[in-house]
Amino acid sequence: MNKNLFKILVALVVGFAALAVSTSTSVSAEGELTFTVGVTQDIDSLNVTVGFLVIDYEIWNLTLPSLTSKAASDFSILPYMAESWTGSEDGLTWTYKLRSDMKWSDGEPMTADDVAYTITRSVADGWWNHTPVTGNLTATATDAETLVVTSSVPDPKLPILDVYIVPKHIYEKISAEELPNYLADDNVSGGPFQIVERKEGEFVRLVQNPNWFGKEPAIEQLIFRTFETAEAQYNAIKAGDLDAVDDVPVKIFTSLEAGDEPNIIGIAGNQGSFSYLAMNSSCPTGIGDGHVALKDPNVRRAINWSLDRELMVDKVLNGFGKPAVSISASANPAFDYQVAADQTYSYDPARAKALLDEAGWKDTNGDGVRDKDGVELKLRYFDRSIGGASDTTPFITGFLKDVGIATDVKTFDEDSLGAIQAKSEFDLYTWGWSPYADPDNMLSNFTTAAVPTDPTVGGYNDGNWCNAEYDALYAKQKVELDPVKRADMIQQMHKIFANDGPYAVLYKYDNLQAFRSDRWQNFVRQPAEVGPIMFTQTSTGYLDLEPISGGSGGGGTNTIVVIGVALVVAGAVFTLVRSRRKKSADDRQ
Amino acid sequence: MSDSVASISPRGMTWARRKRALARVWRELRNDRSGFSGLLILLGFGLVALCAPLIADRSLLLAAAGRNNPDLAGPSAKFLLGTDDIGRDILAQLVWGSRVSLFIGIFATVVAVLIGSLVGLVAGYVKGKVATVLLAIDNFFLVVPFLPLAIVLAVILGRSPVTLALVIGFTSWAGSARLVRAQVLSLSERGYVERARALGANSRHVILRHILPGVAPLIIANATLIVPGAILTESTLSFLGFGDRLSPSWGKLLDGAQSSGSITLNAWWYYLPPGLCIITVVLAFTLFGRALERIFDPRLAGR
Amino acid sequence: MSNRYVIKKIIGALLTLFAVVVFNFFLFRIVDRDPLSKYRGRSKLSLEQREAMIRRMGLSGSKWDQFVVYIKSTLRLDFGRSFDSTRPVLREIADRLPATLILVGISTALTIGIGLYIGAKAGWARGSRFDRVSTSGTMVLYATPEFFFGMLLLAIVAGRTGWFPTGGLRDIGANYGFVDSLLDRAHHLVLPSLTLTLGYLGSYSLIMRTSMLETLGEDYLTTARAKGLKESDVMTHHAVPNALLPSVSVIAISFGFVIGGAITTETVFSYPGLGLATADAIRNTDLPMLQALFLVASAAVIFLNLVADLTYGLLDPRIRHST
Repeated sequence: MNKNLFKILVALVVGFAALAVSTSTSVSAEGELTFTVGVTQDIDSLNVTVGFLVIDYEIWNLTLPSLTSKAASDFSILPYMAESWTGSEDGLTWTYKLRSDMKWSDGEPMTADDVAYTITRSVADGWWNHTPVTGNLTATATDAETLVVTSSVPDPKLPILDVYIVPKHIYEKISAEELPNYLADDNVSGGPFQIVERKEGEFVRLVQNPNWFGKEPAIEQLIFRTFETAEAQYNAIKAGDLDAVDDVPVKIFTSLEAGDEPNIIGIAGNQGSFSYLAMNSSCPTGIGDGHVALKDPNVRRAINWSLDRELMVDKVLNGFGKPAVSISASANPAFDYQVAADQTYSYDPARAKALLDEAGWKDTNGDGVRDKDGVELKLRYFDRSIGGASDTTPFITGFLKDVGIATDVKTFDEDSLGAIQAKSEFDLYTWGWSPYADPDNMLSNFTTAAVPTDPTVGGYNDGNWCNAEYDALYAKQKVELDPVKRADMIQQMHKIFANDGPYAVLYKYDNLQAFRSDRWQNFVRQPAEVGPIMFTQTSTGYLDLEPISGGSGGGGTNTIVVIGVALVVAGAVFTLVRSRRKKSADDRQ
Repeated sequence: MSDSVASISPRGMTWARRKRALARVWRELRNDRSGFSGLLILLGFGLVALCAPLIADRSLLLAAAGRNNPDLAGPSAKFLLGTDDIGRDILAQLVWGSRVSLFIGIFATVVAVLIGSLVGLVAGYVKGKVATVLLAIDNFFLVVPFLPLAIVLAVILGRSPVTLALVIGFTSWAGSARLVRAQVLSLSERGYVERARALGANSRHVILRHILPGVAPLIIANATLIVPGAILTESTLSFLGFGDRLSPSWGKLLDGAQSSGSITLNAWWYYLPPGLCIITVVLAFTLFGRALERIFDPRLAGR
Repeated sequence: MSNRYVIKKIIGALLTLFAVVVFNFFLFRIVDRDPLSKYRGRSKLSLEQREAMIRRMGLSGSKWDQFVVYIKSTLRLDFGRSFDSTRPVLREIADRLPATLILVGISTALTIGIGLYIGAKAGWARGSRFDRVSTSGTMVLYATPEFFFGMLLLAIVAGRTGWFPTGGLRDIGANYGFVDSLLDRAHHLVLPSLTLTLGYLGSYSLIMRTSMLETLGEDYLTTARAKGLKESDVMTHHAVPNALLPSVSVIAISFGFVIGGAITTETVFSYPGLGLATADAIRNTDLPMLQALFLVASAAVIFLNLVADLTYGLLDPRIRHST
């Protein structure tokens, strides 16, 4: 081999090694007790007025306080910033007494003023994560520890005030125009943990917040590491690189349940997340270009009858979920649609065909696709490109084809599909929702007010559906203070939605998580018994975790590295020497 | 009358010459062990692709086809290569996948070779500004990172097998244009092209009658070497999730094998067969293509 | 090598780079993508605010106005903000560039070193046992998609034995000293760089072998032998240097493929470099990121080609004299 070239190559390798050194940053203090979680989602924004991914909420739960907290068992109210609260006779005004010892992680005092500021500003700027709760509220801090909240209408959600409180001393410096681009990278925390380091697409590292006023966690350092694929992530926990993972591939999860890995325990937790097929119902007050057939509730019902939900739960979820015909209004299953199985949709293609015939959609030209007045029943079908989101597509398009409905499938990224939804320019698409604890927010998505009318603003009514009866019930439950009467109204809304609505709800799916049982114990599920252990409504599980003594946290690989490097170097030297020798032997010939 | 008689006879001679040339190619190919085995493997896969409907019913590909089957089951008498994560027969998907993968590979190559030969012929034959511009375009496509461009185009234009093939073809013609141009330049310097031009033959005649026949073998050999690249690209696109999810290509199968965790679960019957099919077909095309190159271009003999 | 040759090559490279910049502008304006979709429904933006933001993104006015803004900001290396993370694109790229440079650098060095060595040896001893074995081996490597190597290495080597990390850049949150931190990074690099190296070893070695075979027919080898030089000297001092030249230029051209390999390899190993950023940006239709990533990747290929051309000019006597 050419000697110069060899030198160049050596120089290159050394150069890149030097580069590796120069980019390596020193990390954290000595021997911290670390809990590393694998996630397949990267934070999209730490800014509480912009982000919307599950991972964002997890970080906010850990770094931003709220006025009150929710019990893991049943989401009932618990103290957080507020220690006690009293309501007025009419139920419109609540007075909260706050703790007096609270500070933000940067040492600034945390007071009632921060809460009042958050509520007032969120209403004024229309923060989308806040206004469903704060929209009808006004708040004043009468002193540092007293907050008075007044609602303009009776509000069954109170006294729970379930929004993230932001540090006033940071946010008041940011104007409404600048806020969308604010990256929240000053990392001021009011929760149990604070962010100390973040590399996009790689990880976010949190340590204990020294000014935290609640229960002290055993974990000293909490890391969320991003993976591209769920399988790679699972391999990482198996190899001991991780302590817990969210999103285990279903087939692997089944093998975990069978006890294939003694040190890894799988948790299939349900908090109401569901998948659905949205059907553009072309609400007259809305915009868009939905297929004419979908305006007819009978066609929408036919689609509901044509789907084999059991098969999809069985094959796509491997049984980790259950068929559903209406939305989950809340993470609490008590608010689900209570309906007998024989009173609602099952897999009945014959019935679907009959309904379509009745609605006038028949295959008159013999091309296998139904038509009416010269319009073919061919529907645009959109799904998302992220992992797993489109697994139901081949099933659903197959079921629709069986009853004579053709589809034209296109795949989009989430933001682009969101933009299409804001214009209501689709026929069918699949997506999912994860509900909050209070049902109001989810139910509000299907009111006429939530129908998109301006593409730049959008709206959450992604079936483009309106129903006066539903709207009236929604308004009534929103101000009903008697929980039993409210629950009854919600059941009526479910009935209308399932029978007439713009969705073919497919199933409720479990969050498949796993953790290293040889290292950690005392995982708390939320909701109790059925819920997951991480990515929950309040994410308080991290505070309860206890290490198992003797369990090692990763590491221990350096000896192998040193041996490996030594072997490679030795091998290289050996080869070189040998080739030299051989060469001189050749030369002597 | 006499015109037609006069024109038939040289054409007949040309045909006879071509037939002899073809016979020579065949003879040399028969003696080229690696090239000939490549050809046999390709014929085998081609036969499977053509006979796919006879081997496995198309309905076996439907998502609901695994309704009563066990998921991720190993090979058995009923499922020779086991089942995938939703209980479908893997062999059926491989068989139909050969159609998609070969179709995309070959169609993409046709597109690439058409564009490449046209640009190469013109850039080699015509001098001046046109050639400069064509060369600049060619140079551009040579340096633009090919995979990201192909993905972006696939995302913009849609993901059916036809658009995927068009996209792959459109992004991989630059190499063959260069090759064809170089060959045209060397042919143009030979006497008979000059003579034909001096005798007043128009460009079309010169290109079609004198240059194209000289370049054709090279184009064919080159095409055989583009196909494997196109098949690999299709599998990469599918693997990254930018392929056509509704067609059972081999890349799509590998993607399914990966996302369902089949490697972790030791379900070798899911991830190995599509991987091996890709390797075998790519290898066969490469062996065959290199053999053709050797035969058409004696300078390369012994490669 | 005359100055004219150098200047001509540099101008050519700059023109191609400019063509990429222009192409970028049009390619990413075909895509129908709402630049403010991130904010839709999430913050109440007034019409004025929306217009101001779109103006700041350089997306208002006629196509020509947009083009002028685009060229100006590209020259300032201002690529705007990512649609996805809302962080400045330049910062995103600067953060991820070192990881990819190291991965691609090490793999390319290894591939060139090993590939050219095998290719040269096989070509020199054409028809020998070494040639037959190495050529079949390299052909199989060439035919295997690199992500397939990656999948197998990840699940079988990393997942089952635990000898190597399953992905990432380093042990996050671990407290290592300087040497340990370096070793940790090296440890994480082993499987990804092995994947990328195996992925391209085949083609590099085949290119070198071909080049070697072409050289073998040349007269000066016969002359060298006639002078009584030893076979090994003829090989190392005459055949290899001459076969290297064409190989290097073919390799420079094919560097674009290595960039494709970086995308799949980084995806398989969740290795946070530019390749992974590209896959994510495509998945999110993050146009500002894509535009910049495209430019960086093309610039890298153009630069390497320029270097190859100049080296060629420096080493090849024919070019030195003729131009």
